Amino acid sequence: MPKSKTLTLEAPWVEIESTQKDWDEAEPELLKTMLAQLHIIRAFEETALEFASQKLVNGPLHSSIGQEGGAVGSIINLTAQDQINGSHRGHHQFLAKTLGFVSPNGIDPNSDFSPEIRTLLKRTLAEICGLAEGFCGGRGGSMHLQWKESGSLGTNAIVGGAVPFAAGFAWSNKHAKTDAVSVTYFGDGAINIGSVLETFNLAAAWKLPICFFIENNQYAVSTTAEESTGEPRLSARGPGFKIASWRVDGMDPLAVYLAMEQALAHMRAGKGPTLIEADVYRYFHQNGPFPGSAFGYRDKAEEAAWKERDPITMLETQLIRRKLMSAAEVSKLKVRSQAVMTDISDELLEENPDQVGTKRFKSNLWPDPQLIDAGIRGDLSEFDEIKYKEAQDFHGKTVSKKFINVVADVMLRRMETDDSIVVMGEDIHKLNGGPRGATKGLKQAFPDRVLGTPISEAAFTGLAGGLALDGRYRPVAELMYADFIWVAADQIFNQISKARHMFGGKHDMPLVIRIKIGTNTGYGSQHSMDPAGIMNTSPGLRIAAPSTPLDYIGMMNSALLCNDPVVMLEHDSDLYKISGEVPESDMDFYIPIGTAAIKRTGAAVTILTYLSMVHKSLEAVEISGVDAEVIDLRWLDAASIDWNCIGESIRKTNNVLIVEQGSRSTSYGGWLSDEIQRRYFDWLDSPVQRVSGSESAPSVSFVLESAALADTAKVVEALVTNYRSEKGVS
Amino acid sequence: MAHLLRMPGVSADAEEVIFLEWSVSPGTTIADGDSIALVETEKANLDIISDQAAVLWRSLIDPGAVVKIGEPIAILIGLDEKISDEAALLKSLGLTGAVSAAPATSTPPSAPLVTEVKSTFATNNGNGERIFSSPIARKLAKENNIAVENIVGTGPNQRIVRADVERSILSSPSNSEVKATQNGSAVTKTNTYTDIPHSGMRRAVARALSASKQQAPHFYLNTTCRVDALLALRKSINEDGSVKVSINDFIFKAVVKALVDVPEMNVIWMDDCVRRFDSVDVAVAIGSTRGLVTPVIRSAENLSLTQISNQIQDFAKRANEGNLKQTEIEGGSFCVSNLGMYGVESFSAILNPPQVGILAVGAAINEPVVVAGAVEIANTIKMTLSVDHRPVDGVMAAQWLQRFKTLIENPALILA
Ligand SMILES: Cc1ncc(C[n+]2csc(CCOP(=O)(O)OP(=O)(O)O)c2C)c(N)n1
Ligand SMILES: [Mg+2]
Repeated sequence: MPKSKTLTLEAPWVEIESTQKDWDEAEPELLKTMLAQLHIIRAFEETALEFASQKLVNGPLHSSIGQEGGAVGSIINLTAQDQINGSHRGHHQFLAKTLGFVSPNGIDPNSDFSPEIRTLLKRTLAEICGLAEGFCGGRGGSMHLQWKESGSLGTNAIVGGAVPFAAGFAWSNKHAKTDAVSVTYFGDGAINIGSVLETFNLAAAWKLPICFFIENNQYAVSTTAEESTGEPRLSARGPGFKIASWRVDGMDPLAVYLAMEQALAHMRAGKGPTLIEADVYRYFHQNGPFPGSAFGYRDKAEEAAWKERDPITMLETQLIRRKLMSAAEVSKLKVRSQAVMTDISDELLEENPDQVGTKRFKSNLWPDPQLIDAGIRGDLSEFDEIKYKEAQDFHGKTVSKKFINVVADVMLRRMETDDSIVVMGEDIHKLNGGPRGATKGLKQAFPDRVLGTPISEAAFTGLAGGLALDGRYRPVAELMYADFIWVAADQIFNQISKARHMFGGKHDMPLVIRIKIGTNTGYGSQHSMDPAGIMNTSPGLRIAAPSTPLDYIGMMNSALLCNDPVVMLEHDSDLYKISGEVPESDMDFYIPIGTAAIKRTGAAVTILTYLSMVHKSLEAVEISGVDAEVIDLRWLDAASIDWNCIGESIRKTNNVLIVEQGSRSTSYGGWLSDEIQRRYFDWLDSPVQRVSGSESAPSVSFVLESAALADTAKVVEALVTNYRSEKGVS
Repeated sequence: MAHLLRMPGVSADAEEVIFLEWSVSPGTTIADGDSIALVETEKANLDIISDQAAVLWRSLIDPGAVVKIGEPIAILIGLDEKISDEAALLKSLGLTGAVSAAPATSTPPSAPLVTEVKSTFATNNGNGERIFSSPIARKLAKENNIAVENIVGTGPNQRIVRADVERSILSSPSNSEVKATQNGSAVTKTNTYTDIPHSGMRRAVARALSASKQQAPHFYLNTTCRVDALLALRKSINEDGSVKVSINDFIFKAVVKALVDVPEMNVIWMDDCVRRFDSVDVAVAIGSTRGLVTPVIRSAENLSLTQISNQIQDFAKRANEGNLKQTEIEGGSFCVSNLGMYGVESFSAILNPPQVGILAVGAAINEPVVVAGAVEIANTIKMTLSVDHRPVDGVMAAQWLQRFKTLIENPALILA
């Protein structure tokens, strides 16, 4: 019989209840403002639901009616510097935060609401309805509400998707040496998704001032916590990560307030993250104006029991008991809240002449469909004053350097000149610059800006996204291998790349993701992807693919100046080892985003290629004797590709060969060839041809890997087969 | 060797067959005994069997067509044969243009061959079947007013590609070099040299002449003609006539006459025959502002000196304007090229396919000649005749040149 010892978790895990004494001692202004906020939010939500039932809202409307107590109780004590984000069910949190922002001294429940409050409500409703006046110009709608200035940095339609960003806000607050915190709201369903759990871990590891606020409304659509998890006491998740955790009755706004007071004290004191689970109840179904009982997963008795404990009724009872407000005043507040919403509705709606008795939006309120693509990315005005340089500008003043050394050197130089740059990734802080030496010397020089991360691609990539959205820091996140983009996929493709456009196209997303490509290393099917094609499916991302050390410096400098997310593709086996001429002393030059480089002029065919295939294509041209023009694309994404250079070449050669190394399946060339046939159809003399790897992902076996990847021989073959008889064959 | 495959007689009583399908596609190698196509007669469906190993280079018949026995149905080429100049090949097979150039006697059993082939292209179109052509080829053709149906494609699937159109531009001087340059690439300038991109015309000239020099074994004959009499005759004609004729007009007329007199020289080389023409079609090389063109004066034996003179002047004018017609620059058996006006004393020229000869005419100069033991000063012109050795031997060419010299030195004979 082994000896056992009971182990205990170190982080506190407590349940908070308000007492009569707490209610007696609570500041009158606090309670009154809470009630005003609750009424305003309730009236707003009722109007929104009414709009939804009249089919005036395009898409789902996730009502927060019944859950307002948790939001108001937890947010009322936040400052403008504190930041929140949330989930698909986020109107109440958004309004609580923004009401606090426009009325920092509280709201008097007995007087008319300020114009700022009216405007706030109108812009929020307009956003939910997809109208131009909305906070995101109508692009975000109900599930993507953002007003950056107010510290409300965005609700989110991906369950758990917003949580890693909030860790980024928290990191920024901590690194800027403020005592501001971030609060991220999510539901009982989201507690089980990876991004949330990864972020628990990362936040605890780095002691970030972030509050994970679980609104446990008992259901994820129709599924209960008991069905979804072995430990339905969701706040139990916290202590396992050493996160101080609270459980509280979310129908009691004061109890939530008190729990948050403790959590804030903990975070502002620098003790790391907190977790609050608030038990709440949504009176309606997942979305739309019907109660959940109508769908059979719960009954009316359960709904009635929760409504008995409505937070507004509770607060009113206490205020009247303490004679802080009269019953008449309370009902006037309700009427006034509803009247504001009626006024706003009237401003937005008109009679619908096509269907008597119905309403429609005034036509001048819609956003301009012409602007559908505006703001996907920035206008690059940050480069206005920049003088660019290319390899030829350094003629005679260069030294030979290894590619891999240049990777570290340029980052070191930029971190010297720019305090906002923060570098993160797995093992980058050790092994003398990570597994390949790409971050050599950085940790020693900038210990607090070089972050070795846990193996949690979703969390740290999302944290970097949060840094970028916050805007005070410029993150550089390294993905050890390109294939790991799938692990971080939601953060890269749904969050980072869409953030700018989705939230209205107004705020920047300055971030660099360094991605190492593992082809030709024998790492096999799950480490050998060229991600260019996949990256290019996400319009917000810019893609840099430097083929020489000198280009790497100039392009990385541009990537670090650019206010859009830039993906830097780096080639481990093919390029890190090579040496090339770089400027003797200049580490501060920029290569313009959107410029390709002609590596060889020729007349027979235009080869479009990038990364190591630039060198292999040049080799192949010499072997084949076909007089090909070789273009190093350098910037690959749809917005940054150099059509001028490509077009001029195609008009000359009338033939195109796209050369890439990786698998045909995830290929970049497919997109490129499609663009080319539409743009240059009349100039083509033959179909656009492509050299790429196999359909399969590259295998580990040496011969299979070689067979899977395009190489010089394959380019020669393509040149000889397709262009041998063309003009210019020597 | 490239040659036509004709519809064999399939049965004693069948005059024609319905062409059902091709068993092989263009580019396929066929062995002796392989089925090439399936045809239908009133009695049966039959395979057309190859009696040789060859490559089906292109088909001339579409499935569903009614084909007369003896009508060409395909072009076969040798197993290792490479077709570099397709236009020339088709011309040599008698498959393009130049209807008038094909004398009746040499007309194959399929009398309507030429029109038939033309209509193959045309019906391709008419049937709604697609003529493959690359986008840039179509664009170039359109800009140069060339109908793609009239161009033979050499690309994959017999696709008409840029080079094919450029070949056509050569034969159609209505297309400017400037245009071709605009369509092509920009001029590249460095410190040490300037690269002027090829125009379509330049490319076409280069291609045709390289092919000629490679395929037609040239030999050269030189002679010097005394032209005092000719100059005198010309002077008197020009003095009283309203038309002015040039020395070149006389030379041209003499060439025509010599070809009438020595018909063995009025021939061209074909893959399986030497074709001798009944009429005399002679080209004149014109260095137009747009490049070299060689329009052909047809049945020149029927034209007077002034008619020839007018014709040449008209060609020169229209060559500069780019207004020559495709049919005007095809065919011919002979060519006259004159650089005398530039002071060139003598030169030898490259044959212009499919022509058998080209006469290079130098400048008229004063030089001492020995006449009956005494030195005289005479006006002379040096002539160099380039000849395709395949259809013509040296002696025959020498006889022709001798006849020509006689005509030049006795110009009355030219006018006779
Ligand atoms: C990653 C992801 N999976 C599924 C969904 C679809 N979905 C939207 S809301 C929701 C339920 C979420 O439940 P919970 O987290 O408890 O939030 P609540 O709706 O209760 O506020 C689901 C499954 C989604 N948006 N994102
Ligand atoms: Mg829920």
